[in-house]
Amino acid sequence: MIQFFIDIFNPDMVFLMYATLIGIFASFAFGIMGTFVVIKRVSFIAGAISHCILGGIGLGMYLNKVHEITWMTPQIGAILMAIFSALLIGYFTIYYKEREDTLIGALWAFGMAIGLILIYYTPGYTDPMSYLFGSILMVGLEDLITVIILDILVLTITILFFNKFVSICFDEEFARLRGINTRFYYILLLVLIAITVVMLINVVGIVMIVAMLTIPSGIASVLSKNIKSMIIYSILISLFTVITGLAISYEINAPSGPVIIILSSIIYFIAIVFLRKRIF
Amino acid sequence: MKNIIIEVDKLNFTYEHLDKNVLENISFKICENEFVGIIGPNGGGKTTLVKILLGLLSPQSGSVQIFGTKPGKNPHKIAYLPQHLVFDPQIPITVEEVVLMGCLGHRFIGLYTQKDHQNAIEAMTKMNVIEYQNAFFSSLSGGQKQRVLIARALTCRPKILILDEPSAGIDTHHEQILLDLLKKLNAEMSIIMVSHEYQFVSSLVDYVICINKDSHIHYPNEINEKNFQEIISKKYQYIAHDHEVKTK
Repeated sequence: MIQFFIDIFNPDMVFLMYATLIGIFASFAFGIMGTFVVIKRVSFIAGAISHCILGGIGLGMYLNKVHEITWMTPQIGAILMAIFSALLIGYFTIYYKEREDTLIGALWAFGMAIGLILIYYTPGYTDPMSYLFGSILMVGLEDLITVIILDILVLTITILFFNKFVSICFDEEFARLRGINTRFYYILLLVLIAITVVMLINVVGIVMIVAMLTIPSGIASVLSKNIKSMIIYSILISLFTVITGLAISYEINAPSGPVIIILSSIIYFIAIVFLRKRIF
Repeated sequence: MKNIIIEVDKLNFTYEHLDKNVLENISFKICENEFVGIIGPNGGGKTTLVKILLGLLSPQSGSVQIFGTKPGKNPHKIAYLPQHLVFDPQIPITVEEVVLMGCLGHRFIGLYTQKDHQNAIEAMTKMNVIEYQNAFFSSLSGGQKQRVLIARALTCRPKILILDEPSAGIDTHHEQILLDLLKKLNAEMSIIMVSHEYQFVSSLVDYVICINKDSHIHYPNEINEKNFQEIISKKYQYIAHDHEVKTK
């Protein structure tokens, strides 16, 4: 493990520094948005958004290579699809409550299927595994800059509307009576979750995003007395699991995403066993 | 002469899935600092009427004026205590955080200010829940939770307080505490209390509006335990309805 922390500063292994910095910056967004995912109980929606993103990645690759639309990179495709799917799912969950789970389930699979088809029709071989299970050790400076920009965006909007987000999670009817446009803030929250999901793709991959958005905040909810402390614990737990998971995966030469998730899950199970006061 | 703050005239309302009215030809006026009871049988339309007053539902016909404007236009003048608070008890939220929510809507962006915190402390003190300020909201008893929710409602210094079945789920001791607090609050604001138990509201109200599809106004000296059932079951028409369903 110590070798990992020495190699972070090795100029020949700059990818390790990028991976660590992405993990650090992304942990802030994971901690904040993860808290809202847990208290609003929208992990199923976050899962659907993350799987729809594969459709955006596929579309980005296809348009970039086949139609030579240079600005349409897989990353831009992922961001656009994340926002689009958040808006679509938000609309469905507000106006089609009766069939909410079925619709979300259908979108979940639809987005992924579209992505796989477009990747298949894109010339050249692309291994979808790196998107599905993460590839934090393959990231570059561009990825780091994207994560920093998205992080600033998520943090700024959350700080500005924090009280409104908490109120719609706790008592939506009361918030509405206070003149707050609860539908707007619900959809804004989903868009921020979607942006956070884009950051998570490199770290843990599409398949395990839900775990990273719920496990650190699930542990934090047992330790916390209020929502602000839940967010702080959640950020700290995310930081610990991402950095330690990276170090372990580097040491044992294993994919970083699954190692981070296994580490988080173990801490979560220990928290359930030893902190039973509040079962979640 | 007291100012009229709520004026309902020939109100008719039905839900999307129903073919008959839940409320029909409802008319009444409420003046400032009055204490009014809304009573009636379950399914008679009491909560529906409250949701119309709050601007959460829109009537098909008739008019509703609150402070001279449509319902929902003065969110900070009306405070509401719901019959059941649907919330996730596992959300780690303190009593103070819940009460502070009463300050929502004052500004578009930003966190709560020092003044908001002062208002919250004042409201918690008034409702005798200041000692639970840092306690988990979900760890409180039913009666304590109710007082916290009233404190939340009071932080915006409302002119009207609407309580929907406040006696549901609390014991007689807490019922009395609540009634004493409401009596004090009535000096500062109008109070509308919905209940299906006349005995609960009888000691406080100036008059009661019996809602059972239509409306009748009765004064406390006209109602007693013997004729109460007769009054509320007159033209009894229970209409099963869901308050969340969209209106036509």
